[in-house]
Amino acid sequence: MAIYSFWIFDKHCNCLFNREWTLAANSSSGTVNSKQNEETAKLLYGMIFSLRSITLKLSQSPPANEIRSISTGKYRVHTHCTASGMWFILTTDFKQQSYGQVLQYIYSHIYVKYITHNLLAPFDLAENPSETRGQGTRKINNRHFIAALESFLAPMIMQ
Amino acid sequence: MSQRIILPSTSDEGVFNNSEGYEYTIGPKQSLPNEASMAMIPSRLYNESLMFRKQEVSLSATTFLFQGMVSYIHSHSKSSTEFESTLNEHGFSIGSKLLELLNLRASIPATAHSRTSNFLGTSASSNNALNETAGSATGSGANSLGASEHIYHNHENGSDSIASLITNTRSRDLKILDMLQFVHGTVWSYLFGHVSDDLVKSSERDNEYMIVDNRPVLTQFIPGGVSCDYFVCGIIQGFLNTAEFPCKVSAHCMPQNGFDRRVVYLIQFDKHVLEREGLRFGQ
Amino acid sequence: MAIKAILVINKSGGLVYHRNFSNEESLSSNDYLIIASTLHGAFAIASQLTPRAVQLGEASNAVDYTIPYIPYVGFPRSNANQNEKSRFSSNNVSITTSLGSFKGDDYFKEPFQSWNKSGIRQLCTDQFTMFIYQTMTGLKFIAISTQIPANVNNSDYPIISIQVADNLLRKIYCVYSDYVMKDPFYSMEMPIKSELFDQRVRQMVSNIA
Repeated sequence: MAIYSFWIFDKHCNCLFNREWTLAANSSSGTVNSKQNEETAKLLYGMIFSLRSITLKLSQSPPANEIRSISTGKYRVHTHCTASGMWFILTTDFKQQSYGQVLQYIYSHIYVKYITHNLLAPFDLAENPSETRGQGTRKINNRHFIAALESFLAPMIMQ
Repeated sequence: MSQRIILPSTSDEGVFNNSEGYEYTIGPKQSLPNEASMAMIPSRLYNESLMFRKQEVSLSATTFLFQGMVSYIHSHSKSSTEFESTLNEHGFSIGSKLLELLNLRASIPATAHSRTSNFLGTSASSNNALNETAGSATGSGANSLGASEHIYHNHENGSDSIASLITNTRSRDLKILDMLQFVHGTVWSYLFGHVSDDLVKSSERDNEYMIVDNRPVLTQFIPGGVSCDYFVCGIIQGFLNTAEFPCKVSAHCMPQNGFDRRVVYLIQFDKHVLEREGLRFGQ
Repeated sequence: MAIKAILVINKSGGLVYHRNFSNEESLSSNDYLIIASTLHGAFAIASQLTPRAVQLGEASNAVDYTIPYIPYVGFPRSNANQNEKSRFSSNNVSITTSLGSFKGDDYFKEPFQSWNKSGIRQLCTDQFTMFIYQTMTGLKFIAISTQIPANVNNSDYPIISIQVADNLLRKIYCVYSDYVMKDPFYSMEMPIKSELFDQRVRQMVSNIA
């Protein structure tokens, strides 16, 4: 099983979308936007946020030093940061080197196409200040977005 | 599971299995019916320790123990002089016991057991006695090897003592130089596994001699000055003082030729030692 | 892969040693303290984030924590050839390759188990890669190296670089066990001031190309 879960965070530290696969044999297994994953999402965000503060400190000034991947003995986390402060995060098995292009593709061909270009989708899911500091609970529930994402990532689960 | 954290306070399975004595995690145990009647096997420990044999001690354990001793003394001394003199005292007692042990061991003929090369690699003068005894032993017959094996066998059984191996005791060193060469060779190789790197006589003062160690074994992991080397100073001092060569020993750090831990042990004999030497061996 | 910095973090997250090998302007020591404690925290969080699929044992290839032994990491390049000679002669070789209380010509020669099973082992960024080796007692040895070249085609490269780093950091752990643990003037969990340790680490890092 090559990929385990996929997450989107916005600039307000809110988890906008999460998808976790549990069975290698069944690409539709697992959960979408599960409530159970709220805590995990916060931990994941917190870990990347604090590691990011380290890497920014350790980097030489102008070109921003972004995290590409974080590896443990069991899994690897790949991150992609967009200009608007969105984070696209993919957890995979620890052997895979780079999913940067996959995340780039998800952003430019799936997220931009179905969410950004969708006039009915809100510009910012956090509608009032009380939802800005990681307190937001709104999720992306766009059917087309989820369907496109599923069909794009499904082949990688079995790898 | 080869790698598990050892918790000293909890019972480990290894403790249960290998236990022979009282086991506090189990409590008193029943004695086996024939336990009391079992014959006592005499320990070979007393004979063994006097035999010279190539024995290797874990350097890691030794230096760790040494650091434990040093840090204990360090926390209990008020000044650096007190620290050095306490270390010196600890070494002194070792040195004075070594005098007896190593002289006894040097008296055992070479054929009684296999010696390491550095034990024989000492200076000629201190080897004279050895060679004589060795020569007499080998000269006694062609089956000396078999004989020595026989002796050794007896020894293993604990029925024979080391004393029976010694036919000719090593004569006592009377000259300063003989004594120092014994320290430089035999004592050093017993303690540190190698002969000390140099033995020098001071050109300025008659009573000063220097033993040089390029890489001190005990203090090799300790950064900073030579305070900890006063332990070895104590050993030398104890050895020489007990042999009636009263002296003072101090350690000095003198890096040279890439040996940045090189230590020089400066031995200053008391005046009367020189006077005695002059009377006894003077022209 | 050149090493830019080595850090040692004690089991409570305090920085006990850091050495910068590049000439770039270094951060203040306070910054390094913050980095150490942040890493310590993130390290602990990472173990909480194990994906459910891994917990359920769905991972197709079981995770193997054995790190293979890579010969002479942190030794001069020519060392591998010299060893043949040094076995027979020349005591000046033993000066350069004296390994403290470790016998032989390398600190260890067998593959070992990684104790760092669920914590962070590698952090790749645009400018550098960070490797973390954790000991059984919770001490962490961290190496910051230059970035792994992105154009390496070998798909095993990240795994190999982790293994090299683990071998190197384990050797630094060996050096630590000698020059720090056997220093009577070192108090546990406090910053390491031993220049002998520093010297050994420098020597080892400078041998890594």
